[in-house]
Amino acid sequence: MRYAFTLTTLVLAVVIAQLALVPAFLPPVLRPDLGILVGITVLAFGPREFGLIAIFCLGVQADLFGSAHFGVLTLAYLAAAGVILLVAWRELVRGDVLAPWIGGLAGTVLAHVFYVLFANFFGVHYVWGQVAASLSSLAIAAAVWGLPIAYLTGRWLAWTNCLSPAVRERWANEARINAARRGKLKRA
Amino acid sequence: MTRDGERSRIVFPALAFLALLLLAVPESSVDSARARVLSLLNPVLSRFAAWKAPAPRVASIQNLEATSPDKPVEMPAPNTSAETDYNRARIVQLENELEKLRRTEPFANLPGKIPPGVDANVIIRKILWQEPILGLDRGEADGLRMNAGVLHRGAVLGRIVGIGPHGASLALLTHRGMSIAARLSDCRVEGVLQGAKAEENGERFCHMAIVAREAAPKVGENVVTSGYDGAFPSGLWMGVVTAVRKTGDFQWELTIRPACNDNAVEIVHVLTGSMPEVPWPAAPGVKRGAR
Repeated sequence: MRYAFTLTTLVLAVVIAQLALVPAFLPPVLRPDLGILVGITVLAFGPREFGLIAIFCLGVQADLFGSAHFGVLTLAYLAAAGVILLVAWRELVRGDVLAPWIGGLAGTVLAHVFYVLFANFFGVHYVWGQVAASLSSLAIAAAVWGLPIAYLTGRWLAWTNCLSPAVRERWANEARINAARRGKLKRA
Repeated sequence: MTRDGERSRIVFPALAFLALLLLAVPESSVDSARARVLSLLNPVLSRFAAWKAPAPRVASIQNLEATSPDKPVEMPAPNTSAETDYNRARIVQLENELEKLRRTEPFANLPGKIPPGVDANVIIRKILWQEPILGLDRGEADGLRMNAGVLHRGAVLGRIVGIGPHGASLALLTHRGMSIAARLSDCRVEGVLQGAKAEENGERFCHMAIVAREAAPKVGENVVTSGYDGAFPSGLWMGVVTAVRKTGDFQWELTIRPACNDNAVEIVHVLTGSMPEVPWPAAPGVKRGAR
């Protein structure tokens, strides 16, 4: 139940942010694809199947509001997540925010490259120069916003108790160590 | 980890299969789903959209209206579907204006400046005695006069044949009663261009009879005004020769296709300049100062 709640809130937040906040407040070069960033973060911090389902749902929302052919972006998201899991699963799930940040950046690029390739099959042809420009701006935006999004999504997953056991254990350890350090400092 | 890995080995292909199934969803269903989701989210989205600097947006629309005072449109309340409709209607209106202006630009192949005159809108089209007559929204009060020449995109369109204080009517080059002094642009032979009856395919042409000892009119040659009739200055494009028929030793009958297609005429340029007065010599046999 809590997974469904977390997923619904994440998808809603991404839809609202992508449709209302990002175009209103950010210049074109800093408009990220929030879906893949949040999805990769969930994949990094949450249980793996929950992350995959989140990526699927976020792909569907992205398809609904920003794809030339319905289903292509979902497939591209899943393919990007699959490649990242295949190549760097251990690095991704180690529990710090740097991994989902870099993962989000790589996922953004991969997902959109896959999207362009898959879209070709359905008669949607893009000009490669424009693709390169869009990819660059998405990568820049992912680099800029990836870290705060990974942090906020991680906090939300922790608050709703949807972290994977390994990540939860690591964060709990870090919290204990931090608390111990603060205690030592206080005693000193 | 192993159980997790086992499960994700099933979950991932299942999701990929589902994603493949999504590709088969018809566009109409996607559109309706998109519309449903957007209408569900509309209260939230419109609230966020209201943050999007509302003042400049309203101001920009007001500025837009200020540039075209002849078309006042009432502003709807912001962030409603009425606003979307208003913007859509405004875009169509502006595109129409743009296309109209584009169609009034002089033909690209015309050299020189257009003679002075007044632009007038075609407000009515009538068929009188089987001849099309166009009504204009300018009249004597605007400087128009009877028999003034009328241009469209820099080429000759016709002549003013009726005039009132705030309106005028215009007969086209193809009108049977029309005659304008013309000249072939290459062989420089002069003649009078006259309107003619409709041809078999409905297209209207003009005729031009020329009389010359040595002339070689060719099909495709341009016809321009000679400037001898006082309505038009010389050198304005009238049309193109489409057929040449020799009717006598020194006579030719030419068929001319007019430069302007009158069906596309929305704005015309009515010439207001007049010929300078020529001081002709007195008739022979009359003594200077005699009555």
